[in-house]
Amino acid sequence: MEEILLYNFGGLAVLCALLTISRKNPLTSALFLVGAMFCLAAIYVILDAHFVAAAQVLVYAGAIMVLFLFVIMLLDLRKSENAAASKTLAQKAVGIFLAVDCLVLVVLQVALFGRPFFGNLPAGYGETEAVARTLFTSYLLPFELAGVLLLVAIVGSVVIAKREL
Amino acid sequence: MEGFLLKPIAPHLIVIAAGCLVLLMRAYGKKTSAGASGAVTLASLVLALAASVFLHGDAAKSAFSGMVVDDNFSLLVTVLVLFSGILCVMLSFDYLKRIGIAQAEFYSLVLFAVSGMMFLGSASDLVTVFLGVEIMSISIYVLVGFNRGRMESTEAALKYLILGAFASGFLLYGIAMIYGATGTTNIAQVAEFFKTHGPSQISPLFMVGLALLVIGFGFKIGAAPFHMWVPDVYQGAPTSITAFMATGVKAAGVAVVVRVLMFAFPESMDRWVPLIQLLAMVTMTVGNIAALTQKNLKRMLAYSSIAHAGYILVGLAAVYSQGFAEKAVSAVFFYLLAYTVMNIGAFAIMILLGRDSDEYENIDDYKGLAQRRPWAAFFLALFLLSLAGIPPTAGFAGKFYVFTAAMRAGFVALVIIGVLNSALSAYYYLRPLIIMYMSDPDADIVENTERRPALIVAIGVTAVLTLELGMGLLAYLAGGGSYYEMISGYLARVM
Repeated sequence: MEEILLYNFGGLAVLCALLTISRKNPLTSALFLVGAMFCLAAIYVILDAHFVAAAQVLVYAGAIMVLFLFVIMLLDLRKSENAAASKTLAQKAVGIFLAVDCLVLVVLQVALFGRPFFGNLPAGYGETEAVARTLFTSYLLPFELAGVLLLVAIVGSVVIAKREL
Repeated sequence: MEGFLLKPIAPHLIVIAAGCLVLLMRAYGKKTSAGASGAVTLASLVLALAASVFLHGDAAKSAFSGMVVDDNFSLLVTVLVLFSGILCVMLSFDYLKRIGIAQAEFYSLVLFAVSGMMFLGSASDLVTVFLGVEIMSISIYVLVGFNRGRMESTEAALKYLILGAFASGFLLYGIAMIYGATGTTNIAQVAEFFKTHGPSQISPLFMVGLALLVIGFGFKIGAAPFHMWVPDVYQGAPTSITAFMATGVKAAGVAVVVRVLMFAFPESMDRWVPLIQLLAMVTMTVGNIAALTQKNLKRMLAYSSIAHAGYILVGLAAVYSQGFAEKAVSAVFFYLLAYTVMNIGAFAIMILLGRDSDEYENIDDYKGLAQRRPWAAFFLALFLLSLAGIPPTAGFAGKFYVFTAAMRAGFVALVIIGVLNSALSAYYYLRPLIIMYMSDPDADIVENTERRPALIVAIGVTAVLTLELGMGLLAYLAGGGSYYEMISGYLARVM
């Protein structure tokens, strides 16, 4: 059962990722990227990493994707508008298949929720407390270094984008 | 707890704190000049250098649950990148003013880049390795594009960013695969895993991870066939940053390759050494052949930097020699040091001569330089001869140690290709020399004649070291103590 879920979501993630880079319309690409992010979140849930799954949805599927869509909205998209107007039968079929597949998977996952999928894990595995404990003990230095990395990125983007320094 | 927890990363923290200080000085003191930021940067780098030497104990100390380690290896990397950073800042002082990009942010990004490199040197976990690579790379992407008014600079930054992000993806994917194969990202524990489980555990998953890591690092050090970005980026970047990239970034990249390959995967050496050998051959040849036809000195030095990455990889492949691994790594370190001084020296002369927006990049600009500026011509000749590997310079000593190490490992073909390449490279290094000394000067070429003490000091230091390191070879051959012996003495205690 677990394997079916895992491979289904894994396959979906790969499919969405492929569609992300093969679509001409940037908006379609961005939406498929959301799909890929959601599939990854589902895989995290299967692996009992609930906190990571929630963070994945909030940060990637939520915040970062909204940013992407904003950027796309600000770009001039008039050229590709017409291309997305009509859909072929194959496109519709793929769309319906994906929707049904996702629905079945989510239902399955909800039905199975509450018991660990793989092996015997220690109590509280994947919860916020366990993640926080690891993050602030063994991974304290990388955590702080990530802060430096973000500072560098902020300074860098201001340097590049600001009209006058 | 291993004593004072922050001690192993104290020099790193000094550099990061100075980076923040430079930013804050700019934010709160509107009148703070870029010169003051530069002075703070220089002072903090020197302070960090002193701290890294004086706080360093002889025994290896790991900290933060094995995320970083302070050992002789990390000390050598730290000293090397700080030295490169100090020279880069000295080159930047007047150059930034001249091309109109004298900003505090420039210095703070240099500081952050240096801190990333230092973490690369002392990383003992693949997670720290990745974060170090990213801190360094993102700072450098921005520094490359810092001259926003210049088309080439922006183009170079964009190219480097896109390709660099791709390489980081390879690196991260490789780390994930190795984690999957061994169940840990800690370098010592990965090595332990293979020691206890034996070579039968070298799974396809691990091999793919290893290959992806080599691709990622190969990109960062500019090894062929991942070198496509090097000429454009080196040419487009501000010259002081080009010098920094060619030396500091390369040194940090090579250091992390050694750390990961040598310390984590010694058991699978017969898998990755052929890979490094192949990379070395391709890199040397591609770099040297492409450099032959260059008319632009900066671009020529970019291709030559690819070639030098190849020589360094020859030394890296030589770790295969039984029981002499630390000698090979010392040769690599010596080469990096020699390359740092001679390459920064050459770029410093370029900055010295350039005026206004004329970067003095064309080789034809150097016509008859010996008559107009005999000293500048002399020093440039010295650095170019050293890059070509002509005795008694540092470049020759470096090549000598690297090729000797490769001979000891039994890679005769590799050494022959290396020496042939070296002979080939003499052509393009000597051409500017001939132009400088044997052509008549063009009347319409006027170079910069301002007095710039920081630049002169940098040229003086690099020139002295170029000769000093080269002379060390004589002491080595005579059986006395040389710099090379000193480095291998340090490394023998950790390897």
